[in-house]
Amino acid sequence: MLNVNAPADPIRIRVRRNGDLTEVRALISHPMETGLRIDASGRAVAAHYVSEVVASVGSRIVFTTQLSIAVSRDPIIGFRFRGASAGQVLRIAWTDNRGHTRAGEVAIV
Amino acid sequence: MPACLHLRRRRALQGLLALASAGSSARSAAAPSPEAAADALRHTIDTMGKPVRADAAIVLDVPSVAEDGALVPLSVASSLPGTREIVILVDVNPHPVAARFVIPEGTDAFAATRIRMARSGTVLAAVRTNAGLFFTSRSAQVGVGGC
Repeated sequence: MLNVNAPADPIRIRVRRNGDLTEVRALISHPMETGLRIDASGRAVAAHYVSEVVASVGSRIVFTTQLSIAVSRDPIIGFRFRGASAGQVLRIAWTDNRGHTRAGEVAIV
Repeated sequence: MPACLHLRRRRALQGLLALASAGSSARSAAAPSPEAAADALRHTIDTMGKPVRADAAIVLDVPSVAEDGALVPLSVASSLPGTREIVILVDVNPHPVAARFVIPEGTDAFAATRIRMARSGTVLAAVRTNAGLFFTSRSAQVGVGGC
């Protein structure tokens, strides 16, 4: 279902596996409005921010982060985990405070 | 000077209410005074547990000077055994808790992100392990406030 309010850009996921260690850097496209910014009309722009990000490989959750309005626009999340092998798929899914969700997948090579 | 007005506390804290029940619900002013911010931070940490400073075991990497308070990069790594979660707090922000990272088994106790700081202040990294709550902190000067 097309959500016209959801940001259009896909999650950019950079994955680098070196033996047992997999390093990940995800860039999420999102305005991360704090709810404290005043627009040109003098009104506060409503808070709109990614509240949770979950990274998983198959059924294994490898990282979870809860964000707030204090995380920068277009949030970057970096993390590292062990035990992945080539051919597995890393999935990153986010949810924002308005209930929008988005996910992206990348193969671990 | 940050253009921060109208704290939308409840909506902004949906996901973090458990951790950030700090501060009074009656607070409706703009960016907190230093005293109010310190109180909010202290209260937040009190609800998390009794923290022990562990500067050697928790490496919090944040620039000592960040030109843009809306884009302060940081990384945190904990060598404390059994690290289960890492929480980033900022003492000068309207809400102290910036982010929370949950570290499952098999994942390194490491996280990197970019945060906003309302003005120059202190970034804290609190680490929860099986043995308790530990923390370290770094000062960061900010050129332009990031709210």
